[in-house]
Amino acid sequence: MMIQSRVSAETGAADAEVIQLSRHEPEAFEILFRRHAGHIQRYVVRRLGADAADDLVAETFLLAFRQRDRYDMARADARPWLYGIVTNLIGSHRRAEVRQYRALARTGTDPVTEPFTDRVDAAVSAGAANKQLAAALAGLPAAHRDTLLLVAWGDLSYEEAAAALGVPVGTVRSRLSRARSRLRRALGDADPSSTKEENQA
Amino acid sequence: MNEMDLLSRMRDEVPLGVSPRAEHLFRTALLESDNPERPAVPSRHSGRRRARVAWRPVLAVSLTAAVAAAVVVTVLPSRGQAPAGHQAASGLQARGRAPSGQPASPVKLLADRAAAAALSGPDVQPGQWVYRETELSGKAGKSEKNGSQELWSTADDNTEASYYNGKLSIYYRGRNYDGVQGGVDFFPEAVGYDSLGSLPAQPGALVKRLAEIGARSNTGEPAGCSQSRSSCTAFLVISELLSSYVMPPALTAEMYQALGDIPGVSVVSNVDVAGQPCTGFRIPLTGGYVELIINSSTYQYVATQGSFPGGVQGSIVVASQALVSGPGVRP
Repeated sequence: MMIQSRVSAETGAADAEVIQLSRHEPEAFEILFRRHAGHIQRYVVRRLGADAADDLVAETFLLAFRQRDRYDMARADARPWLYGIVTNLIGSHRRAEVRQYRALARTGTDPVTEPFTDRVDAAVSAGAANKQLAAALAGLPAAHRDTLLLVAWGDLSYEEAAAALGVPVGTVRSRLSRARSRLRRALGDADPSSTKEENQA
Repeated sequence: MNEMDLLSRMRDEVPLGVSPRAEHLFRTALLESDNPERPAVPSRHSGRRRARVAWRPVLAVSLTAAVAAAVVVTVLPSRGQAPAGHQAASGLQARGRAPSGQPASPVKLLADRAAAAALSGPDVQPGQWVYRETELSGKAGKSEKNGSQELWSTADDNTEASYYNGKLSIYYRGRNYDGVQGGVDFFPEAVGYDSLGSLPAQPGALVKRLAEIGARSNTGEPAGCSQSRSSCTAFLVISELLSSYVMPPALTAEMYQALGDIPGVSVVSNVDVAGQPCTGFRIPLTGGYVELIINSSTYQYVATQGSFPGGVQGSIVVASQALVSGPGVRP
């Protein structure tokens, strides 16, 4: 009922509690959408651009809604679950994603960010680093790219990325290590003394 | 700056937020899909209605320029002041109730008084804008939250508005974000204003009809309903109507009288809500209750509050309500 839903939403009940509530009170799933849809949308836009994002975000939450009875209640935070769903969906757009990285690497103009910058900015915004990063991203194996971007753009921890992808955390570390090496090489080994991985480990 | 920092900054200009189209697609897909889960578990429309408020800013179109209109048209009777017709309350002869010689039950007595007071309320058109400020106080487990919300809606609740990030957003029920007709609400409308005029006049039949409306609309009953399904559903539908609509006075009166006819409903007395003496109607739950609170003097609707299984309790109080000239206009 209204109080129960609103109180749960307003008092910051854990995602798992909201999902639990939504099993009996489906409209409570709105709370989950409200909390996470904006972040999921931004993640998809960064990977695929604005045109594809709306459909994928909608599909992600529709799938999540349908699968909510299978949600592991031990996981208080639903982000890994949602990012896992959207990552699977992004997989079917892999060619389009890579095509845009290549366009950025080749022209220096990013088709993904163009709608969010003015024309002058768009023409100059993608600096050399972005071109090199885009070239590296285009060349990564899909699983490595998924892992890397879940951490870099999805703000997931290694453990959360592992949960999202359904792989052991050791696999995440391994993929990230290789992907980061690839990025460093693309950037000309500008800063080989990265410590972020160790810090998160 | 290492490669991860550079990567994190790449495409950082992409804004945070969900687009209205994505939300529209989600809702539409949910409604149009052959989703066996949706009707499988009865939902409670009240939750849908209130939860939806938070969506409207995302869905809506900014009408900032349109709200420079004149201010209040009519102010609804304030809580501390009895409506003019209230004096007639004690003389109200409800429809065939309280046979002579038999004292009316406390719940029927309260229902009659509230109904009499309701008859003195302003008559409004369905498109009349209403301003409400609600105060929420809630507790779920160890979490507590208090807050207030301003909401504008038409009397028939077909259009609602609220401010989000400083912009007034309008939500049109039954239309998608760009105004095209179609059901895009998360769940089907529970109680349509248009259907209210055809409700039966007899309280018992009205309760039954309200329960049917609630059941057909996935309104369902609260978790832990310890009464009959129809009792819980009718109680929630009435709570929804009183909190979200401004109904014609006669219809409001009938709703109160119907409360007196719902099996299991009792009276709660001497309740202090937001510093004002109140009374109310309560329907018990297993491990909790839901209460519809009205002012002890004016008999106007004040709040819905409850305690629910799972350690969730809270109240939503209508701190201020007035008829206004348009969305965004404060009394």
